This record gives sequence, structure tokens and C-alpha cells, in this order.
Amino acid sequence: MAVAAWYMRDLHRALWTVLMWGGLLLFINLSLLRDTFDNPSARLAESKTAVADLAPESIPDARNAAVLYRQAQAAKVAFSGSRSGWYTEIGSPEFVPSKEFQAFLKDNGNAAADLMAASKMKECVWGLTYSGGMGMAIPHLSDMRRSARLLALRARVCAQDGDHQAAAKALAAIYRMAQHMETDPLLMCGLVSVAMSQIATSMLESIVLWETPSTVADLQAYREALWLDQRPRERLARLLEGEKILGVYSLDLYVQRGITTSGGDVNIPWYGAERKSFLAAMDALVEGARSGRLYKQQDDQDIHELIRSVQCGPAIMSGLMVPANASAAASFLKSHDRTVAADVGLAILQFRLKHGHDPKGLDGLVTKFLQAVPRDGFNSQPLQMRSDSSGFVERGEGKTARLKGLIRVYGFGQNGLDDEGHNTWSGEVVPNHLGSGTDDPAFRVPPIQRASKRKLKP
Amino acid sequence: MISANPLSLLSTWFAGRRRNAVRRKEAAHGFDVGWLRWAVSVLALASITNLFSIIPGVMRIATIANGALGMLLLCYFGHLLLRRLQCSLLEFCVLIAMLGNMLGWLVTIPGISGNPPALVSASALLSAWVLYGAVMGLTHARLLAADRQLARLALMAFVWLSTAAPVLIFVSATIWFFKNTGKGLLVSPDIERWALPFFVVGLCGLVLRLVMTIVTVRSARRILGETAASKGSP
Repeated sequence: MAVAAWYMRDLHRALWTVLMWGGLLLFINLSLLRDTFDNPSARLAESKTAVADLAPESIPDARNAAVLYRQAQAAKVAFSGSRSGWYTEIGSPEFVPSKEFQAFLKDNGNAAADLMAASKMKECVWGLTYSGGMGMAIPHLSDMRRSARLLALRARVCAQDGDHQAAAKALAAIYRMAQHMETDPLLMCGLVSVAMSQIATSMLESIVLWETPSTVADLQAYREALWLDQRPRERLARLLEGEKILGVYSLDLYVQRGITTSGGDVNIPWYGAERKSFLAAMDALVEGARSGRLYKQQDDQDIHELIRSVQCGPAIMSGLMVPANASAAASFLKSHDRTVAADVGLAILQFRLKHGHDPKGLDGLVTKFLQAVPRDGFNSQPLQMRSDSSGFVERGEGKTARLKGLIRVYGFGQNGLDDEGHNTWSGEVVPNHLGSGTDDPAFRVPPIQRASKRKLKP
Repeated sequence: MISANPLSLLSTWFAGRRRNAVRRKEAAHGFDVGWLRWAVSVLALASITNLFSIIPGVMRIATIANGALGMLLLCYFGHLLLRRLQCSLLEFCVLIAMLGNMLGWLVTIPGISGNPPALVSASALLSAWVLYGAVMGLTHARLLAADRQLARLALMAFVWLSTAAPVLIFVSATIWFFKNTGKGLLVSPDIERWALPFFVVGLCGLVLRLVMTIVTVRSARRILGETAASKGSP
């Protein structure tokens, strides 16, 4: 009877049941994550060593281009004009350097000279503090991009003045500066390098379209200025590897800081799963970069399936960082393909000067102007050449078509389709029949009637 | 003819319940150690605060409470098992094996020592679950007059399962939710495979809980002679 009476009285059992449920929930979660549990303190020591190995060795200031770049940055004078975003105008067909632009160039003459001198130096070490993890400051990124715009403006003005040699030197300096950006194996630095390279290639295209060089020497100077040996896959693999090491170090650091702040008693149970998933996903991206497997940036499902295939628990960090890293990969190949297309475009102009007409195809350039028809980085398909009788229409400029009969040199881009040399980022209106996924990295060459009729000069 | 007044029926019912409660209290007096029960409840509440607080002072108190909770659990449930419910050697061995396996599984999770609050709290609550299940299982066996060893062991297992059933169903529902609402990055494919087994086992546990509760409560009320009194007949 006592047993029955005791059983029928609740006596805290409701409270105990709720607490036991909590304990069982914790136990089940820990069991599900059993194989992934990890020790942040031990992992931090490993990842700290790996990050320390990422940093380039310091060099004397006399050999360090970064010192001159900082000197140039200190000497720069801001653009005094009323418009913000002045750099968006300097590639347009109607660009004429106003007094503000002329003053800007004059005030920044010393800075430009320092930039050109620094770009010729072989070594550049920025002295970043890697111990801060992903929170580390990289102050030179925006400075260098602004420097690239300054030199691009200089190139355009020199080209308008007829001095294509000086313009080519300025563009060559931008490409070399872009290479200096990648001393540190960080994806952000790589992306700025790509952006700077694109600034130079875009300016070259503007010069070719609107101030077309008319001598073989000028064309050759531009060709020699190009950064052709971009090796996008090797660079990308190196940068993704660096990003992986830095990312996992940051995770270890923040979890360990959380432990230290809390007095050593707080640890995230799914830390191990996050770490393993992130490492596996980044390894897949690095391997993909080396082997040519690019995860499609337009198709999130592709990245999602990659993460799902490697995750071993919660993979929130992977979900946040891996898609961004994967989409960055395409930028490198785009930049490479566009630069190679620029070289082919300049070769077409050289052919035109020699023969008085355009080649029928890119094969016509081989041997004398090209060693071989280059292949694009995305699909290893040969570049294409197409005469566009409808010209192009700039977005926001009504429907006036320019340069009817221009030549487009292009690769098929990430989608692998022939979009006739059109893409969605060049500022042109894309023809309706091509749809919204056009992505051919392209370089435009003016039609033959715009080329100078001056005779060939050695 | 007597007209049934709802208010008077209700008051009669409440009065009956109060009478039963008093009788149960008198009948169960001394069965378990009341102050020990209260101490277990208070310490359990104190010890779980370590999962939610990073204030060092609170965590120190929680750590002490955890240690004391472990001791008191053993005392409270040990008293019930050995003195009141006459736990046999076989049942005791099964209990120890279950406790050892669960705690062993927990402490051998790699890196768990890097998360002391989770380890300590989970250990205490897991131990409470095992001991509580054993006590309630033997209680059911006594009330249902289950004399066979296997029946008593089965009842212990049923209580363990039925106590864990809501948690299993909750975990299963959470996994299913993350899997099917685009939040797949929160659960891996390996974890997703557990959704169905957890649901099935949890459902079985809930059904068992329902059946056992009905049968055992009926039996307890029969033993206490409450069946006629609870219907409120004169």
C-alpha cells in the first residue's frame, strides 16, 4: 500500500522528467556528433603553425616594393571633382580629360612615378599580421585598386595624346602591381589582383576601340604589357589553400577565445563537425581548382551538394564561406580568358595593318602573330572570333548601336555555351535571344573602317 | 428523483480528491526520504545552470551542485531500490551495467573533456534517468504483482524507453524539419538517417507509457481502495 500511495503522489517527478529530457537531449546530440568531437586547444596549436608558414618571409626595405607603394599612397591627392566614381567615365568613348582630371593627374605625378617604379621591383612583402586570423587588417587592398585606376586614367590620357608607348607602360605597371597583390596567399588579395587586372584590360579595350593604335610598335608594346602567363588554376589553388588554412585557424582561434573568456568552461560541441566539414569542402575546392572542376556559381545546388557530401554534422561555417570562395574561382578564369582574348585582339590589329584586311579566322594568325590559337581556361576550348554586324548598345544610353561590324574575340565562359561574345558585366545590352546567363569573357576590336589608314611602320 | 447539480458534483469530486491525497500522504509517509527528495530537486536545478552561464561564480556553484547531486541521487534512489523495493541482485547488476554503459559511452566521446559543463551535466542527468527508470520499473512490477525476473527487468526497460520517448520524437522531428525546410546544412546525411529509427522507437515508447500508466494507475487505485471513492458515490 505504501508503494501504491507513493506512486500516486507526483512528488517532483514532473520536474525530474523535464530535467531528464534535457539530459537525454544533450546525450543524444553528443552521441550523434561523437565522431566529430575535437579539442580546440590542440587544434589551435596546429593551425597557428600552419598560418605562420603562410606569411612570406620579410625582406629588406630596399628590395621591398610595398615600401614604395606606401610612399605613393602617402603622396596621392584625392580627386577634386564634384562627381563621385570618376573612374567610371575614363573608359567611355566620349571621355575628354577635363581640367579636374588634368589637375588630378598633375597632382599625382609623383605618386604615379612611385607606382611605376615599385611595379618594376621583383619582391613585395606587405607585412600582414596573420595572427589576427580572418579579422586581420589588409589596408593596402583599396589603396592598390585606386592606384590601378590612377594609372588607367594616365594610360587613357596618354593614348588620346598619341603616346601609346607611355600608355602601354602604365598598363604594364598595373598588371605587375596585380601580381604583387598575390604575395600573400589570401583569396581577398587574389580577387583584388583580378580586379586590377580587369581594370587594365578594360582600359586597353577602350584605347583599342576609341584611340586605335596604328603602328605595329604600339600594338606590340600593348601585347608585351599584358599579363598572359596568369596560370589561373595554380594561383587559384594556392589562394584557396591559404584561405582554408586561415579560415580554420580563425575558427580555432574564436572557439578557443570563447573558452578562455568563459574561464575555460565553454566549448561548442559541434566545433569538430564544423571544422571537419569546412576542411573537407575547401579541400574539394582546391582539388577542383587544380583539376579543372569548377563549382558553378550560378547554380547554388552544385555548391550545396558539395557541402552535403562532405559535412559530418552542422556545417554553418561551410555554408557561409564555401559558396563565396567557389564563386570567386570563376573570376580568375574570366580575367585570364579576357587578357588572352586581348592579346588575340591586338594580334588581329597587327594582321590588319600588315594585310589590309581582317583574318578569316584565328587560325590565320597562327605562326606569324600567334604561336597557337589560345584555349579558354573554363573549358579548354579554342577562343572564337566573330564579326558583329549589329555593333553594341551601351546600357543606359538609349538604343544607339556603336561600331557596327566590330570583332569580338571570346571564350565560352563558365556555362560552356557560345553566347556570341556577350556577357552581363561589360555594360552592353545583351541581345534578347541570348537570355540572362551570358558569360563569355570577350575583347572587342573595332571594325576595319575605323582603323587608321596610315601605312605600316616598323 | 435527485437532480444533479454540476457545482455540487464538482465540489464532491474535489473533496474526494483531497481525501485521497491526504490518505496517500499518510500511507506513503516515510516511504522515501522527503528532505533528500527536495535536496535532489534543488541541486538538479542548480547544477544545470552551468550549461547556460559563463559567469565563473555561477559555474563554480553549479560544479559543486553537480558533485553533490551525484551523491544524493545514489543515496535517494539507492534507498528506494534496496530498502523499499527489494531490488534483487540480477536487477542490480542490470542497473549497474546500464549505468556503466551509458556513462562509459558518454565519457569516451573524444574531446568531451574539453567541455566539462556538458560532461558533468549529462552524466548527472543520465544517471538520474537510469536510476529513476529502475525505481519506477520495480514500482510498476510491485503494483502489477510481477514476480518473474524477466518481467521486472522488462518493466525497468519499458520505463527507460518511455521516459526517453518524447526526446526521441523531438530529435526525430527536428532532424526531419532541418532536412525538409532547406536547412540541410545543420544536419549531415549521417545524422538524417537517424530520424526514422528515433521516431519509431519514440512512438513505441509513447504507446508503452500510455498503456503502462493506465494499467498501473488502475492497479494502484485498487490497492488503495480509491476506486469507489473517486466516483463520488455516497
